[in-house]
Amino acid sequence: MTFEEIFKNIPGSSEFVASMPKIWPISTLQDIYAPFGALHLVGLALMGGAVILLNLRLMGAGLKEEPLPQMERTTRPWFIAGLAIVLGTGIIIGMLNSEKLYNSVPFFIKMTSLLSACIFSFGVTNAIAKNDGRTSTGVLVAAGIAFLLWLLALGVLGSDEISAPGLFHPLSAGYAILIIFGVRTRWLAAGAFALLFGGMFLMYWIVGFNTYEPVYDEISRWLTVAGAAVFAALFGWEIYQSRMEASTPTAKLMAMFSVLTWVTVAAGGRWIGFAS
Amino acid sequence: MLHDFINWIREDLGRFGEDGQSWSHQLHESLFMWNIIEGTHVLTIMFFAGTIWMIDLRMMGIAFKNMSLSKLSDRVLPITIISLMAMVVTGVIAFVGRDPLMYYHNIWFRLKMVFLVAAMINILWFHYRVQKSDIAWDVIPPMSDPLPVKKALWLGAFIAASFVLLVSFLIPGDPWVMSSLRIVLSIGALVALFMIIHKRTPGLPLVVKLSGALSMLAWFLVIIFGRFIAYDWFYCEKETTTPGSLMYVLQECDSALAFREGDSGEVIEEEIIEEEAVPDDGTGEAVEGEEAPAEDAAPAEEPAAPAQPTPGEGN
Repeated sequence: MTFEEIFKNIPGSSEFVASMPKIWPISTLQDIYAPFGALHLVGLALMGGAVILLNLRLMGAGLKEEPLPQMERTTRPWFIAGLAIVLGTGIIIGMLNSEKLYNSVPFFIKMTSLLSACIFSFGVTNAIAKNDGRTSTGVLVAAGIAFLLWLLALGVLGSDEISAPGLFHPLSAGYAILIIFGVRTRWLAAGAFALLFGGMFLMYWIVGFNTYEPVYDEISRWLTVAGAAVFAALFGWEIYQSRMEASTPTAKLMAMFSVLTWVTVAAGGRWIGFAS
Repeated sequence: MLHDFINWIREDLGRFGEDGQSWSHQLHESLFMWNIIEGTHVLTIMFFAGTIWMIDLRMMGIAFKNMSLSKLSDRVLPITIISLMAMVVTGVIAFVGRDPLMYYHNIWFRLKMVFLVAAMINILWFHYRVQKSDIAWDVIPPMSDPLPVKKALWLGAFIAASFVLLVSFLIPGDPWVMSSLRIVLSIGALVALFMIIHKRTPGLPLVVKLSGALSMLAWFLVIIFGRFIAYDWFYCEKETTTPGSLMYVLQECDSALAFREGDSGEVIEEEIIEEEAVPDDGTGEAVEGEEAPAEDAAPAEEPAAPAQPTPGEGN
């Protein structure tokens, strides 16, 4: 699925997209687009730090002593600053490469998950943190919308032949978070990750990284599915077992989704280059 | 000597038998493995740089002000260290798997390594020297600002330098002159910004804030230069990288080009040359590099750059 397929019936849409690099002042930036790409990563890192620390706190890990509303206030400026850099540079990069991106599946994944991630951050996790971990109906509705958008992005990612291996990124981030915060499942998660994905790496190492036999692709696909199932089971067990803690299971679930949607945004961006 | 070692990694490491291929070539030709590893390397930036910058910001007294630095470090540094380990492992594999000689003779990779080492030295300096006196400043003392006028002056200097820097991008001129001007303006803006921060937190020792600022800057530059590796501006094969020029010397282009002409005595396999000479997207825009062309690959209007195979291998 691409934006070109979605908007193909709108007259003039393709011409408008094609004309984007010529729009002033974007047209003046063509020779100096490289620093914007680099700054895009810097913004992502700044934002990532704020997102991870707040969401780990919501899960009851990391800076546990810091009150949630205080944590939200402290991380918010850096989250917004990082997001502003990401969006500002992203718009410039996107307009300079508009035609390529218009027809790019990973770009669709990135934009869909970006919308989802923004809803998760602004409408869900930050709101929960401000309310000291309490959820409201509005927050749950926002979370539902964001979750559906993220599922759409993951569905497109998983079904696209070129970008499907990119599913590894949100999945590995999920395992990383579980290893950091999972009191009961930390070592199980580390073991499962090493077994499944270390095994996949080992398999390709033995048969040759440049082996194109379909059987190995099939094994990799099933290992990824198994990895997702094991992760879901371990995370579910972790939040069920810790349901009596101050941090509620809902808050933990939302926090995990929030981190993973941002990782999906970043992964989508990375696979735009790989898929082109 | 290092060149030969890197070439050994490229050609021989993991190669078994006469017809075997090295891990480097296998990874380079893999359908997805290198992409997954390099993608993971880039994504760990979110975890690593993001968390270390939060500690750096606290060291400068502008984030987590109500929390002691030791407590913040205890909670956040484990995440940072695990992320660093993941970043290093994936970085090394990505280096091996995408033509290590290209990296070795790439000015941006060399600069990335320089600032990586600088960041490590800063960590050691902070840990073994600065942090020894942390009882005095672990908790930020109450703030006072006895010299608001000076702070305003630094703010003015920062705004002026930033504004001129932005405007410089809209002014045509000699690339070297404009680049030098932008570097000077960037340094000026950073110094002014640091002085504003310094004036805001008089209770924190200058050396602590300096260490935080150096760490932020070093990791910032590691990210920036890492991204620039993908661009072929100064590759040894380019006509603009003339013998004797600064980039030619800094990249050791002599050994790269000697290797290309077969002076090293190494046999270059024809099929590898052909494979690498094909641009990533068939348009001639893409270049080889650590960072495959992402959203910020050369715009369509850019004049097509030649495909950039490994330094030492012409197309």
